[in-house]
Amino acid sequence: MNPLRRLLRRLRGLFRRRRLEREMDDELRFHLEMQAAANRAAGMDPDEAHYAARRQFGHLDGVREAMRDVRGWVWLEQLGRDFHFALRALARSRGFLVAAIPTLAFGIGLCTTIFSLVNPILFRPLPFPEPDRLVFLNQANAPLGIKSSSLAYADYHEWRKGNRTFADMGLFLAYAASLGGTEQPARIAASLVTPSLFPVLGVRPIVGRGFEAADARPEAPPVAVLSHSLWQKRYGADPGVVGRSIQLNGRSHTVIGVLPRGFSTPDITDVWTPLVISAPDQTRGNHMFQGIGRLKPEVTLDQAHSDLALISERMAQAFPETNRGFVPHLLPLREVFLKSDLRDPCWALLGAVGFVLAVACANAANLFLARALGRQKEFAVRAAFGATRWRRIRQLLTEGALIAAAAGVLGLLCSYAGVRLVLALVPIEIPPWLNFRVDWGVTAFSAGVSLLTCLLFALAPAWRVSLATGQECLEESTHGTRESRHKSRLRALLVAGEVALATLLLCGAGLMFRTIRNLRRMDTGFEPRQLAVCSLDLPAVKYDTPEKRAAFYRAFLQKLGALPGVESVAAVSALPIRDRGNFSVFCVDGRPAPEPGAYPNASIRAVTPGYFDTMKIPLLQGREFTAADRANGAGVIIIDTLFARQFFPDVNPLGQHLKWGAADPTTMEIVGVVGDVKPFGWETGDPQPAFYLPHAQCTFSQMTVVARLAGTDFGGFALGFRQSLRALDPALPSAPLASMEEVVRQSFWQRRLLAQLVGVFSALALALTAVGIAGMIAYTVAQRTHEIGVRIALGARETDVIRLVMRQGLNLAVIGLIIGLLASTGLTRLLLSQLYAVNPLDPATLAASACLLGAVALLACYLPARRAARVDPLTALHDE
Amino acid sequence: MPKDEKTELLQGTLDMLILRSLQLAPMHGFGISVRIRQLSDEVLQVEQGSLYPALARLEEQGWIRSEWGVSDNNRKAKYYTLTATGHRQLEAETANWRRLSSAVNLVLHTA
Repeated sequence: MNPLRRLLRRLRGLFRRRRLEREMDDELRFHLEMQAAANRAAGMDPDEAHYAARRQFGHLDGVREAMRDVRGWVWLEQLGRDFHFALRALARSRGFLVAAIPTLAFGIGLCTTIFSLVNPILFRPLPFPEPDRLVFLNQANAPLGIKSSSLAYADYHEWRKGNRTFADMGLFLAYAASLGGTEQPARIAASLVTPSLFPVLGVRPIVGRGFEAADARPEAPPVAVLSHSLWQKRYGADPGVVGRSIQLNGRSHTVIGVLPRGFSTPDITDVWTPLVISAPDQTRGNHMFQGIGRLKPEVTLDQAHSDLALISERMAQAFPETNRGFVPHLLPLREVFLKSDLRDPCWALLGAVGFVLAVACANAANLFLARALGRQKEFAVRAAFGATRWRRIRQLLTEGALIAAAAGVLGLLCSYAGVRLVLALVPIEIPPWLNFRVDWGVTAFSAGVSLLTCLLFALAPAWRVSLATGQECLEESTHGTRESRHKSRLRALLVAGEVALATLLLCGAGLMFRTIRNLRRMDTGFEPRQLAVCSLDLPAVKYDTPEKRAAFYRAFLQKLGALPGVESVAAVSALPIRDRGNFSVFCVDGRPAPEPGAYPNASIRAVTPGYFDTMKIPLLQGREFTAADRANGAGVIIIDTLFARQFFPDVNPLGQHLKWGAADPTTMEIVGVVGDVKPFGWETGDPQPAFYLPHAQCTFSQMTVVARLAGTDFGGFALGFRQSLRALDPALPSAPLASMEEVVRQSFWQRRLLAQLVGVFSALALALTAVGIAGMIAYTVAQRTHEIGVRIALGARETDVIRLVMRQGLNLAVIGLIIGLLASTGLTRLLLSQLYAVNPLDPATLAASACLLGAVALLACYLPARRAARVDPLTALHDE
Repeated sequence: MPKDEKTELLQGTLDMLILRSLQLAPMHGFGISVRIRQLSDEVLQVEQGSLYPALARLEEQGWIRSEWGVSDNNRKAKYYTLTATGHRQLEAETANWRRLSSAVNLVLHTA
């Protein structure tokens, strides 16, 4: 019979079970009757004939079983029976259910929550077609010490023309814009893009169209493409928005399209406008843009790198002043969207939550074992009746599976709330491409974890119990015996394991807490308290000359200074800690000029007079900028301590001269030295020297106003700020005011979140372990009630009994603690990237964790032991 | 007390005997055991316990097929028939058996 017909036959067998059973009975009955008739014909009397026929047939049930076996699906029927029986058995032990299911649901729910959170960051591919073909384009310059810098348009232009490995490339540059129009002006994030960028990323507008080459010509009318969220928030998702005009930075743009939901360039952007470059050659040396390229199929990153390196080499030879030493620096796009500082804590979280699950499973396993041991007689009887070992194990596994399934469903439901809870703790705006939904992948993960927990907590006890034979059961009933050695070994192992895992988590949490404490106390170089900050960006259309810009800020700061409650106010182009800022090459006057292409680099910051006093940055030498340092006056510069140490190690920097700027270097005199402040990205990378320029001489349009308040009335100041701004220029949008303390706090939000989560996990693990230890002691006491009663009757004191009972628990706790500490010394190294100024082997933290765990274990042992000691000897002796 | 020695039948042999007994005409299970006994001169008495599982197995393999009919004494009985594949299987197994038994004979009778 061909396989298909056989399968169909088997399926038929599955569904027509009852009819087939009846047929089987009919057939066998027919045979028996015929045999009995033959016997009667041979001379036996009717009764004997019947019995003889039955005897000849043999074991009827065995025959039936054998026939059923051939039919197939026996395993399914057995499974159904196991299932049914397991349900009934579980319904009888409600206490066990109440203890086991919430424990496991906790563990599974936590795992699912964390997985939903880390899945978009660690595992899910980026929401672009073929995202692994996408590459982030940067440049590097080893001689100048630049590891990664933005692109110059001219370089991108050459790369795009001359490459053989890319399907296409595109550029983008983020900028802040004020969105005007009918409503109040608002500050939004905008981005200049080349028309090629959207096709490179593979995104197509859902309404209207994207940019074409014609839109990027200098004479083309200004157009704009909106993001999905802006379209929803400000235009109510109206498809008629195409063709409407919006005001961006004072210019009127026509909306030509809307992009789909969840799309963005690596910076969160609300509006895209075309990048218009009229003279590509003049952009050499001006590194401003960021680029994305799509590799041709089957091209590797190395091949693309060599391809672009050739072009860069050609340019370096043709234009040595601007291009010497610049090589391409390519990164997979995923690493830019999801930086390692976001991914590392995710791995740490996954590990930590795995430990919590293991502890929960250990507790459940202990409960399961205790319950299974109580049913040993039942299993011995099954064995006597011929149930194979596998069948006995399967019975218990089915019960375990039911519990795991119930816990899994509960855990999955809880994870919905859990994800939302954790996301509420994230202070920054979540990028649109990160979707933390609980989807099929997460559900599959949850199911997998449930299955794993079932195996973890049910398999070992099931195996242990299935070893029961009739002999053992008879021996069990003699009272007064201690539990056999190998039975308690499993339980001891589980408890010791729990303690070790809890210790590990506690150490991790301890290290993270110390990190956060160090971060909070870190010396930022200025005084962040009572400092209000707010960014402003002057639109180029209205403020086209440096004089206009300088005049605005001068007038505005004067107005702000007059507000009540304001001690001092100033402005800076790059706020410490938060802003990336600008970099420039320079050279020290009077020293041999470096090779072209080997100029040193420093961070430049434009500040208004009174900045250092407002921020309380110490002035170590010389003077601050004053109103006398005007645009047409002598160029002055203030350097920071790192700069002084690097470039003027044994000479007084005051009075020395510097030339900065690549295109048109100006000579400035050093008039002061101030203390260092922590820049953007301070926790990684080497600090770079910085110098300050007076805003009058370096008039950036985008500045951050900093105001030192006498009190803490930020609200009142915000009101005054907005009023002063509106008085000067009603069309300027006001950004939200923030407190500098908040800015500093937010700069390490990932670590803080990680510390909070690991803290919660370790507290949970500690609680579960305490429950596990107490449970084990209580069980031991119950087993040895008789023995304890005898001891008390013979004169043992309360403390003796307590010590006796606690001994096993404490031994296990100590063993687990030692294992946990040893594991910590090995594993905490993995947290290194998250720690700040804390040694992963910090003895104080390890000692504190050990003490905490020891105290909890002691309490967990003591309480049940005390109950045991109060046992009335008479009741104990009678209790068998 | 010595009884008639039960000659034990291997499973494969039983299958072959069932197929052979069905070669002549369709029959129900009881009839097959009677026929085998008759054809073997009362030597081979098939254990009922192994007959029915063997019939189920043969049907599963597709060498026989079954249908419900009415027996000689007007009772409902399940009749088995040899299929075409069954015919071929019987020929193959018979040839195999002949080869095997002559080989064994050779070994036993050679000096």
